[in-house]
Amino acid sequence: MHERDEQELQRFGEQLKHVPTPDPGEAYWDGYYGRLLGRMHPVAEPAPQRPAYRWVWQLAVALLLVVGGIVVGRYSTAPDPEPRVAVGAERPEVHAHAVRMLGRAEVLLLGLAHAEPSLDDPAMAQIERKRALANDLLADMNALRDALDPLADGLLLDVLDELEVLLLEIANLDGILDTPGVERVQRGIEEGSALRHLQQSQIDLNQALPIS
Amino acid sequence: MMPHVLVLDSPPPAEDATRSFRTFVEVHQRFVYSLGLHLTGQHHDADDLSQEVFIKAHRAYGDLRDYTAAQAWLRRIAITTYLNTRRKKAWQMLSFFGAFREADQPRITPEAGYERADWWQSVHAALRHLTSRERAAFVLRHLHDLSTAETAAAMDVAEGTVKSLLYRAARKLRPHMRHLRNT
Repeated sequence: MHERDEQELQRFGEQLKHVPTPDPGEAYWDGYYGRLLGRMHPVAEPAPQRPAYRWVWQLAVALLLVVGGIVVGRYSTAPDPEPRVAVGAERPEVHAHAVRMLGRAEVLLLGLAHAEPSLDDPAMAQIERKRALANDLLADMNALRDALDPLADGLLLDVLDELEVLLLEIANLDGILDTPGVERVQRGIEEGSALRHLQQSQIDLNQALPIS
Repeated sequence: MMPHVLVLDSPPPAEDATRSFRTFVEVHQRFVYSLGLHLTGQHHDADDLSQEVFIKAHRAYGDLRDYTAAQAWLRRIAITTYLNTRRKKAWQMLSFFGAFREADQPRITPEAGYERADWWQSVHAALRHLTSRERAAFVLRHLHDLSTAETAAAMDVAEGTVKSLLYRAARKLRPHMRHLRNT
């Protein structure tokens, strides 16, 4: 990291540290362990006393359900006056870009998911290419992020956040025999279900794209 | 500021397992809550995260041998829990302002709190631009004063990745930091 960035962040951190962390108060701390025990060993609450004329309430609820069902059925079968436009159809070029980038990233992660950190493994023999590809994808990802809409594309942005750290890890691999580095990448792929998220995102985006 | 926390250099009194764990929680609860507050920014989320951390710690409590490393162990659990839960969209964005408003804050006078409220609102707005990992790297490195290597260990990433995350955080925060310095 650039020295200026480091110093700037450090100064910002110092500034934040001058404001004390809010303390929720002694009453909160007195009950802290009790609440923790309650979460660790939840006790089944006794069933509430039912009123003598509970059949009146049951009848009222049943009637409400019937009326609600009729209303929902009526409106759900009526034609939608303003059909929703698929997000991908509004910005097909951005989403096609996302599909391409996610596809390349998926290939890269698949190649490393089961690789052995050894010279005999062909996947590891190409580690320099993989590092270059990870850097290329990171640059591509930044361009894509700028084009995405934080509200409409929230899920995709989350997937990109998850992918970004894996790409950074790959870009920072220290040569072919960086066993801890490769294991961290593999753990990240496995624990975060990154491949599943990548695949699901591609399916979603492809479904939203107009058929050419 | 970081709360003062006693770190046990020997196992807590072991009359029975429950009492021992209770002592452990009481020693570290403020530290874990404080970290949770820095990460999530909300009192309720910090409370939820800290309790989740102790539930996980309880399951693995028998494996803890080095009590001097208890804070690092709890920090690691907290970061993993935060990042995993954040992924599931359970936590709100950082909002120290919200924390001031929600928490019962006996040590900060109302005047001081209100004076800071606007400033913290700006901080909140600035930190919203960071991803959860960039935020975690910033909090550990610059609010909790961990070294780059310790931050990397807590986040289970390479040191180079921490540097990249901090570089990205700096780039995103730069315009806001300038503004905040002038307020």
